[in-house]
This record gives sequence, structure tokens and C-alpha cells, in this order.
Amino acid sequence: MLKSILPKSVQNVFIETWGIYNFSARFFKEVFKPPYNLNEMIKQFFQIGNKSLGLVGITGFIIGFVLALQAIPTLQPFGATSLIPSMVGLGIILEIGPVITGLICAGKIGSSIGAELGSMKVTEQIDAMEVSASNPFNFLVITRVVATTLMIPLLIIYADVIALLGGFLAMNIVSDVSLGLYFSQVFDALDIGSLIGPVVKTFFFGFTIGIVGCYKGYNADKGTESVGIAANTSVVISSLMVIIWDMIAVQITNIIL
Amino acid sequence: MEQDNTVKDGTEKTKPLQEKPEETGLEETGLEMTDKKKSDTEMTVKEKSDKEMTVKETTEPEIPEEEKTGEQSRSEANAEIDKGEIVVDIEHLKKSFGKSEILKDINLKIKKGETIVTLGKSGTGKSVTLKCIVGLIAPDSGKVKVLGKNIPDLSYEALQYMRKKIGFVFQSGALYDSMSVRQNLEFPLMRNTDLSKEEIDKKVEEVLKDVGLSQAIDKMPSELSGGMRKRIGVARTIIMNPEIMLWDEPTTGLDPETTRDISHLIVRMQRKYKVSSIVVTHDMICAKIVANRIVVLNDGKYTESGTYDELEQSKDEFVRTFFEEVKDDATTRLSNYEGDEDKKSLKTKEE
Repeated sequence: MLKSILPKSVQNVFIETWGIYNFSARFFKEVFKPPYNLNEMIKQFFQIGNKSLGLVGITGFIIGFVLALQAIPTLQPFGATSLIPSMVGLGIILEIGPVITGLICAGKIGSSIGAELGSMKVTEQIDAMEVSASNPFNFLVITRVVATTLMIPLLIIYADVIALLGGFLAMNIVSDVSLGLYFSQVFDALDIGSLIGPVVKTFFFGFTIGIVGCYKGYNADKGTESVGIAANTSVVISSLMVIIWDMIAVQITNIIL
Repeated sequence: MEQDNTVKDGTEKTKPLQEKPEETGLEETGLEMTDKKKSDTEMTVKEKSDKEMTVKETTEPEIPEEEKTGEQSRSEANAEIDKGEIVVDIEHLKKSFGKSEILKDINLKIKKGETIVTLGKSGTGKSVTLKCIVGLIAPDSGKVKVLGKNIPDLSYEALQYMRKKIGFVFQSGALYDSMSVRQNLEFPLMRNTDLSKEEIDKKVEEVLKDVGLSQAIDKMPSELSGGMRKRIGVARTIIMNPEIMLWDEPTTGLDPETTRDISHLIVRMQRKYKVSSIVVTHDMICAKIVANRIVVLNDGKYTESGTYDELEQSKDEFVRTFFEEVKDDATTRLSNYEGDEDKKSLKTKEE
């Protein structure tokens, strides 16, 4: 009935959402079951974390630097340049740092997982694991999703620190502010309670990027074209989900605090 | 085994094919050759014989005489199989993809130790049948009993347990390309057994020796040729000691020499590990060497069943036409390959 009314694109949204929901449910069902694949997990921590440090660091630095640099001419006429460290700190840590880094990770890590698993699917490597009773979900999906869930928050914290340093450099160019004073003003503006929301949402970002990348790769169709589609849709869906999670997190934080 | 001495245009061949069995391998395949090709073959017999010996020394362990496929050993094997229990029993299997009905009514019984070859045109559902047997594809209806259990009724855990008894060799080899050959072979053992590192190493070395690739143990899949990848795929499957082997086009895309090597490997595995096998192929060289029985799949059903020689004489028009087509294709492949080899050998001489 509903199928005949809804256009195909809307139906596909529901199908994809249902698919990702089921895939996530299977993840939670199997995540604590042995075997735990520690070697593969460490390999994924390295691939996802260590290999993203450069990109995330450069992006974070530029964000902090530009944010401070843009704020200086706006606030200077009001004699409010002393508020810039607080503004940069709040902006970076609560919002811009997590979201921009989340989007960068969705692009780099999401596409990489989608393409890797998609190519394994197309070349029947996942089927080969399945028929050898090796449970590819446990080996491929659990390890990657756990790694993204734990590593992306760390990458975001790292990006935040670099962004604050970038902000300090921008401030130091136009005014004479010490590193100690700069960071004391940043942390004066923040309290522990206000950090909970931004930290918690980064775990959701990490989980979403991992699960969407794995879902799209694991369920890729046959043919080499599917690998590209898996990588591309992983990025699109996980980027969108990062924005949606952020919106939900802000709403919840506003209600609670 | 009587060979047809006439070529397609009705001219008579100068010599019976049996006179050069070692060099051409046609005594095993029953395939015909053109007169020109045959004389080319005779001219380079010595070179090829020398080359084949070299290849065998480096890539394939010598096939013991008793393991080679012969009519006598084949009939003895068939007599033994007739007494065996049924290990795979497919009844009224149906499977559709969208509006396309691929399998309409598949019925098949396989006995312990039997090797069945499934022939059929592309897209007729040969691989789908294999995937239904191993539980990768769920059938729409019908029963797929493997070792007495109906596969579609099994829970995931029970299916995983059953899959340890079934080996599946993929068309491409499906090696895990981020792992070395050693890791590829260790992987199923580490995840499914409690063997110690030493025992696993021993098994890995043993199966690599079985497939003649001991030297490739530390290579990555990207460093291997197509034939080597398939052999490692076979090794990864037999390392789990399966009771049933499913081979999805094991010789597709390989030259005739490697096709024969892989086909003999299938026979050796069947003899050594006493497995029952279903081999999906288009390749008549392979079918002739490995099959105890051949079934022909057409229009979603098995239309004909029998030994290679029986089907070759079949009155069914589809089966006869199909046999002629694939044999022509195999003969062309053989001719092209030997032409290439002649060119290579000439080039080497010039150099």
C-alpha cells in the first residue's frame, strides 16, 4: 500500500535506514562475543588513528587560525579582543572542532572502509570468509567499528588542541598575548558540564562513520562500479549523520544544562 | 578409449591422437585438433616435452601413475561410489532473482566420494546451486540436505558448524589480499580450531606441498599468477579437511596446461582426502578428467546425466550442441595456447 504511494527515492531512504538499523543491532549483539581479534583491532586503531593524524592536525590548525584571525577585526572596534580566546575556545571545543573533524573523518575513514569492504565483497573475499565458517562480520565489522568509535573522539581532541594552538598563533600575530594567558582565558570560558555533550557526541560520530562505512561495503553489489558507489555513499550518509547527531546533541545539551 | 580420427570438415587425420598423448594431453580430454595444429604440435614435441617437465618440476609435484585418471581406475572408483551414502540431496530447488526464475526444479543426489561436474551455459544457475548448498543464497523453495541437514532450516550457528565440513573453491581464488599466503591458510584454522602454532604451521606446509606451491608461502596474493591463486584457494579450502568440496569454475581463464594441472589436483584431492565434489565448469578438459558423472543444467533444470562418454553420445539436441560448442572452444584455446608457446620458444631460440 505505502509502497505504491511513496516515490522510489523515499522508499530507498527507508530501506537504507532499516538496513543500517539491523546492521547496528547485529553489531551490538556480536560485539562482546569471542573471538576478539586483538591483532586486527590494533591494526585498525593504527590505520584509523595514526594515519589520520596529519590531515586532522592540518585541518584543526587552519580552523583555529582562521577563526581567530576573522574574529580580530570584528571585535577590535569594540575593544573586545580579550574575549577572542574564550570565543575561539568555545567555538572550537563545543562545535567547530568536533563537526569539522567528524566530516573530515567521514570523508577519509568512511570512504576507506566502504571501498575496502566493497572490494572484498566484489572479489568474493567476504563470501570466502563466510563459507569457511570464519564469521566475517566479527572479523571485519566489529574491529573497524570499535576502532572508529574509540579513535575518532581521540582525533577530535587532538584536532581541538591543534586548533587552539592555531588560534593562539593568530592572536600572537596581532597582539602580544602569552600562551599561558591565552589558555587560561580559553579554559575560564569552559566548565566540565559543558564538555560532556561535545565529548559524548564524538563517540556517536565515530560509531556512525564506522557502521555506515562497513554497512555500505559489506552490502556492496557485484561489479567494480559497486566499490565506488559503496565508498561514495558511505561518505554522503556518514557526513549527513554527523550533522544530524550534532543537531540532536545540541538540543539535548540545551535541555539538560 | 576410442578417439574420433576425423576432423570437422571430414578429412582424415594423418595419425591417431593417441600417438602423442604426453605432449598434447588430448588423450585425457578427447578434444580434436586441426591438421595444421597437429603438425605444428608434432614439430615441437621435444621442446614441449622438455618444457613440460621443467614446469612440472617447479610448480607441480609429479602425479603418481595410480592417481592419473584412467578408465580402469575410474570404473573401480564408480563401483565404490555406488555403495556410498548420499551426502548431498537436493529436492525441487527453486530460486528466482526478481522476475527471473533461475532454478526451476533442481533435483540432485551426490554420494560419498563422488565427483559430479555440472555443465551448462552462463547464467543458468550453476553457481547459484553451489551457493544454495553452502547457505550463501537462500532458496525460494525446495530442500538442500547436506550430510542429512536441510541447509535453509539451520540457524546461523548450526550453519557455521556445517560449513566447516564444506569447502568452497571460488572462481577467482578469493584470497584475502591484505594477508600473505601463510596468513590466508592460517586464517580458517586459527578461527575454527584449537591447534597450536606448530600444528598450524605443519598443516600449512603440508597443504602447500599438496598443491605444489611450498615456495610461495610468504608471498602476497598480488604476486601470484591466476593458476597459483587458484591452487592457494584450493589449499585454503582443504586445510580444513572438508567432507564435501564445491568448485566454482576452477579452470576458467587458465591455459590448457594449467587447466590440466588444476584438474589433476582436483582428482588427487578427491583421492587423498576422500571428499565428494561438485565441480561447476564450462571446461571439457576439466570435465573429462575429474567427473565420475556429469549433469547438464538447462533452463533451470538438470536435463541430462551420465558419464562423459555417455553424454558425448547423447541424443538430446541441447546436450549434443553444447558439447560441440564447448569442445570447439576448448580446441581453439588449446591451439591458441600452443601457438603462443611455439612463438615463445622460437623467440627464446632467437635470443
